[in-house]
Amino acid sequence: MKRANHLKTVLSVTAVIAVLLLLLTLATLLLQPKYMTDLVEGSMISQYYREAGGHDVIFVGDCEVYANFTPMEMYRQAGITAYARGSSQQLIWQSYYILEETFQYEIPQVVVLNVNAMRYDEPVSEAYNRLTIDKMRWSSAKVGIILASMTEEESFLSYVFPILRYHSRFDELTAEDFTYLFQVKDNTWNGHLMNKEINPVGTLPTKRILSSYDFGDICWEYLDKILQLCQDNGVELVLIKAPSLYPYWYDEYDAQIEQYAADNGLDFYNFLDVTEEIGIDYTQDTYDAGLHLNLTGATKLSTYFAEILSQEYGLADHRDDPEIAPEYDEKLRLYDIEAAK
Amino acid sequence: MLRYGLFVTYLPHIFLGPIERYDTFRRSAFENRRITWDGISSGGARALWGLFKKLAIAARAGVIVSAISADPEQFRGAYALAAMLLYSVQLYADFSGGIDIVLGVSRMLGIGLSENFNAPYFSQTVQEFWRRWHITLGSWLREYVYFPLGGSRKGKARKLLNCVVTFLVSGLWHGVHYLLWGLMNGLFVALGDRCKTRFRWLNQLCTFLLISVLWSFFVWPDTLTAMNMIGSVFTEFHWSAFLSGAASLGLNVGEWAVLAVSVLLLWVYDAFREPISRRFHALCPAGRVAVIGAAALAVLIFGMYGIGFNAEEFIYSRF
Repeated sequence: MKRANHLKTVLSVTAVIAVLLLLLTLATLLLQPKYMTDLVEGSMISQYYREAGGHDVIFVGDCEVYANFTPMEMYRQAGITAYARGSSQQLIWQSYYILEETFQYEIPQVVVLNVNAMRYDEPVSEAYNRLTIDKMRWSSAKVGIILASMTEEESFLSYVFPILRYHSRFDELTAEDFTYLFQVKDNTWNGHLMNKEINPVGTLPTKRILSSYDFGDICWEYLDKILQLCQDNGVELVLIKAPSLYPYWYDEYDAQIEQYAADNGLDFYNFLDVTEEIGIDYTQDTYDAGLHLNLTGATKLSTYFAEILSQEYGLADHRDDPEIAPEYDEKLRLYDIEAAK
Repeated sequence: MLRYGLFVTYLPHIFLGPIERYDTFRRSAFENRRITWDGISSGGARALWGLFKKLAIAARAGVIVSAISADPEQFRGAYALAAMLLYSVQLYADFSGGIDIVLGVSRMLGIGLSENFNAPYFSQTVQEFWRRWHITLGSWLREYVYFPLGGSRKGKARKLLNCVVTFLVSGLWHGVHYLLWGLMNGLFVALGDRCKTRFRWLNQLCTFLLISVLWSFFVWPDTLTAMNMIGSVFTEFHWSAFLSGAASLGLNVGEWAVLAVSVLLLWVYDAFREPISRRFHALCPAGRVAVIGAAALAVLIFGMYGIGFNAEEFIYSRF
């Protein structure tokens, strides 16, 4: 009898604890930002998991990657399968860990790294960190990216238990929080965030003279790690600078990347030098006055780069591949519908 | 010697109290201490309740109090009264919340410490209030200041003087700025229950309002400003101005709603503490775990902590 009572107590306490944990999980899911209709950049990192695998090219970098390059256009022009793993203000060490994670899902032929983030040698803001890291799946890469990215005010525990960070959103909940409690919506096209607006270049901020143009040691450290990671996996690393007019890409920055590329036998394409050749018109091809290309600008750039990738790196043309073409053709059809809206 | 050293350095009560006597502590900590399921569960529940009071109530009320007290030129009249009332809530929730955490944790360890609050805002006179608020400090002042001065044994005039001196000492203990606060409390305590009516609720309301007004000396940084603010309540009172400006003081409508509900919970708990405690002790283990879990969730969701919030020190640890 005593034993039966004891067992009953244990079972009932266990059941209560299970219910409490369920409530905690639900509360966490509800209070976390969904990034489905507002700040959609926050959901981009996780969309990759639903599309992982089968990409010959992986783009890595900040917003200059996911805005300026459209993998769907690269497929259309040259049959290249590509994915843009970029996020807002993605720092160089974040690119490293995201690439490390990507290699757990697939090994591409080429990794294209946008080097704009080399100018930032310390964490920028908690908000940007959250957009990049929150929706990553837990892995050693996620642990690494958190530890490398945390600002002073942040804590590791708040990434493990997001309710510690987002608990105050209880009075900011919107329909989006309930609609997307258990479902997600894909916002990108193989990582490209489509934007059709036109906002021409106006007056750009004056080019500032800096006290130092040297990239930080930590940036070189992680660039080396990215290179090593690619070499260890037999992947070709290509460095690029997207044709964003601001923040300003100094000649001194360019020289450092040129030297690094030369020292390590890498190709470096600075698209700022060939905007005329690409056909970029900054009165029509940008949605934010030159910071990022809109769809027409991204289409031009992607068409241009697809030819280079195809010719220089021996990438396969998958447009007649029976295993890949049906899926990509359908995706392209939907992409064109969205682009025409 | 070692035991006395342990008593003096017992961490939970060093910063906030209660002001414990060694004998009381010794009996509890060294003679009859047992860690039991009842102690862990009820102590844990109490500590979480204290944390809720600190993070969900005191921190929220403190946002408004800080906003109002930062600009005495702009925020006067109804704003000043709101600051006084909310400071009453903030101070009580902060201080008693801290004590709940101390007593709760100690209970979990099998150590019983003295209670320091007994629903003070339900007092019917200022005299009664000071028997229910910071009980251990009151006992200390009574034993080491009031009684040595003669207490109430040397006539009414001497009793009045002894009351005033005791509270002046209390005021001085908080800081020189609080001397006037001490004096006024001493006078009201000396009055005893002379102003008491036959309506319990009226006595409680008036005592609460009076205590809140006296807390002004803790809200504003100097005596003159505090007195000026008290005066503005009677001369520049416009509730409509406060109501229209309330949402711009740092809390949005949702946060105000949480504050209101939390204060109501606090009122209910203080009003029905004994039956609530009996009910909790009558719960089966699963029931107690459910209550503790719900309290923890409430703290997690409604507490003001983390990025964007100032993790304020406990108010009373400054004194």
